[in-house]
Amino acid sequence: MARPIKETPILYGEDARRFEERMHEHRHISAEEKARIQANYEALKATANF
Amino acid sequence: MVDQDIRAQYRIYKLSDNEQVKSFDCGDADLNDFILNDALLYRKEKLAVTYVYMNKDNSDDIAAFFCLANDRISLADFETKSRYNRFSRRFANPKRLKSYPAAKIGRLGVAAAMKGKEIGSTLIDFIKNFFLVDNKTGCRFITVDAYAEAVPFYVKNGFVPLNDDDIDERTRLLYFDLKDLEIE
Repeated sequence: MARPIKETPILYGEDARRFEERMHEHRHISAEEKARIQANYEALKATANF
Repeated sequence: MVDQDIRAQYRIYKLSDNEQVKSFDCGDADLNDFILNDALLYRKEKLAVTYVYMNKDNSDDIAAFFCLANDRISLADFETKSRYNRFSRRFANPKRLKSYPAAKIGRLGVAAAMKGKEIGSTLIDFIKNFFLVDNKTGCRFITVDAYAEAVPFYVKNGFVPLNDDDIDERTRLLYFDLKDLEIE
């Protein structure tokens, strides 16, 4: 039996505050990176069975 | 991005509830054990779905796999877990949690013979966009239960550790905010 997939823990205190702060920061990716992600997705999706 | 030859030869394939992967070696015994034995149990119990990147002409030739499950990231309005537990015991239905929908990459492995060909990063790009454009119910984050040695790979792909509680453990939880995919 392999190691089980770990549950995502509830965040408390400083961890929760840091998480929310990061959520509201803007870290948008570049147009080039977005295009690469889109191209990889479309190439793989075109071959998918779902 | 994986090269044209690999893209022409391999496809993404969602395994059904009774399909079993017969051979796969990524060089990690635990990860091999998961895809060869445990992944089927997760599918049968509807806990996770497994996808393989397999040869179009030979279903035994699997270059990589990943499994996905529903997840959520919850924030408690308390400083510590023990304070939250004390509160929970006193009230039957404590609504002091904020939760955000997420999808979890339970496991992701690339066959040893296929490493160094950008397959892992390409699959991560696929998963990110899959939940961004083909999302049926709402999903803000991709989480991952990553093996410690794979943490740099996920950080390179934009993931961030959830907290430092598991810094010395065999696996670490990281997340990626799908809002980061918006172009400025």
